[in-house]
Amino acid sequence: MDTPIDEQQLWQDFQQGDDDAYTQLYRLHVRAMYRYGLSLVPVSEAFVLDCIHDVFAEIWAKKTRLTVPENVRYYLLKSLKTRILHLLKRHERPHLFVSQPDFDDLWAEPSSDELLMQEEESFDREQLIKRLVSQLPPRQQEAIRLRFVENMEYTQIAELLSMNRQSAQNLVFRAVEKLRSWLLPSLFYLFQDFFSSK
Amino acid sequence: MPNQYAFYSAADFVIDDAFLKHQLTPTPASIDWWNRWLSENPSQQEEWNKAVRLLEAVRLGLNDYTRTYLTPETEAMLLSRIQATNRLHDEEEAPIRSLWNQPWIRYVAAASVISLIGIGWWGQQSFQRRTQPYQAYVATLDESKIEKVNQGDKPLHFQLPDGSQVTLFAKSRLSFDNFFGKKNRSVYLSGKAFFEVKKQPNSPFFVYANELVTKVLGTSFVVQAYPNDKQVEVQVKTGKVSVFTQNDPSKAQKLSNRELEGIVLTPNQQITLNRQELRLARALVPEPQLLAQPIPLPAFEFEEAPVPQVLELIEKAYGVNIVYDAELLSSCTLTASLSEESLAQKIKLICQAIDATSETIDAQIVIYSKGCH
Repeated sequence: MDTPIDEQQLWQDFQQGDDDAYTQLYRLHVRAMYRYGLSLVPVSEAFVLDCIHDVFAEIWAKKTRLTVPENVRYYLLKSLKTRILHLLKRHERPHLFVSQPDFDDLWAEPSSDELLMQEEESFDREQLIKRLVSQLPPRQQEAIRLRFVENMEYTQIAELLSMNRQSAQNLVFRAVEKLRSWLLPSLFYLFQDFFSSK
Repeated sequence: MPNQYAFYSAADFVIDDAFLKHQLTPTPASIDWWNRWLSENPSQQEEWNKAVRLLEAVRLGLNDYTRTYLTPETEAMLLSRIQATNRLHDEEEAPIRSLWNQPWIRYVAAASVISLIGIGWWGQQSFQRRTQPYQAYVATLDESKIEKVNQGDKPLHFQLPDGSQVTLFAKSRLSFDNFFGKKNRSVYLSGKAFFEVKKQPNSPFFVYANELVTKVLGTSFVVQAYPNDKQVEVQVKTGKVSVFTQNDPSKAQKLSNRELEGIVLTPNQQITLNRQELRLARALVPEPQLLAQPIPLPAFEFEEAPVPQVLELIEKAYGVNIVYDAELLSSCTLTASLSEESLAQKIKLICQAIDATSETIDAQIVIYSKGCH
């Protein structure tokens, strides 16, 4: 295992005006910010880059007044989302973001026929599961990205999605459970190599 | 041992903190713990296995997200943009800080050697912040370097050791090291110069000017990069040049490669580097000139000529790209004499004749027309 980088230390150095520490923090987190930002506003790369720029410029400007975040990635993703929502609310950009909490209810689940068809059309299991993930309601997708890729705690996911911890955990559970049930028929033949390798 | 897991389903496991942590970053302790738990709860082994596969499937399904690719170029450009904003912010803050100090300085001015040192230090700091790229380049050359300076108003003409010709314009400097032509062909410019580079396919010629690097094989072009300009400009007269910025992540490769890559400019094109944002923009030069032709140019005399044919001729003569719908314009003909007109006038007159409009986008001329009847 590689030695963990002491991000708290980096953060403190950057607060003292250390350019290198600042650049290191940028390099550590810019890719996660980029993918998370793009997942929120998928069609506008330039807009996401602008927002990342704003977040980093702002922490530089306010560096002496900031506290040291417990989880730097969470802090930066949260700042990025706040920035994106702020600009979208000011109608500076076309509306591309779906944020109504009840949107989940409007989300039509694929029928079993549709699922079967997709299974037949998919060349491999990766393609199939990607399709299935893309059919989850947007907030469930966001929650599982934060959970299984960004490795966030439920409390942090809850913060990012403006809900309480229990709801965040339920959201992740619903997504996982739905994927499991959709995959159930195929788990045994499509995921055979998972069986044999374990 | 607490046994909350005794009745867990696969999905329960997947969303559990300890389970996820163990799957993503197993430690000797976590391996121990789960092995012990599984041996004590053999009935849960199957559900546990399902959970492992389910988690793998979920993460596989998120691959598009995980692998969202930010190119190194974009990453570096964004960082430079952020740093430029930060510098701007720091410079705005600096005068406020010195004003702050003023009353304090007034009170103790008489006796204060310390404050003088402080001001001296601050002055030096702000000077260093403003150090020009040219000075930084020249500092890397050794004592034997050669520097040409044109303090006057008239252009200064001279030849480089490799036979390339340089016209150095007013208030400009050009440096190169003693080995020029042997080890490399690199020159460092502050100000404006016109280069006619002797062709040496195996030894590219480089002009470093502020944040921009221009790489050529053999061609003529103008570089303008005065210390206080907000932008750097390169205009191509003949041949091809490639340009990239000093902070280009693949700069090393572009420098060493014998090919021209990056943004390649052709005659009558110019590139402008915005120094604040490090953004490159390509355009046509303000007054595109006819290209030197090996064969005499056909006269721009047209009688009932199909417009696409006319545009093709102009494209060739000026080396510019004209975008139009050939099929649509084939119904249009032109009768005109356009030999004396500039490129812009030619385009304007043609557009008037066929009731079209035109626009220049990214060094291309685009013609909008509904066709003719």
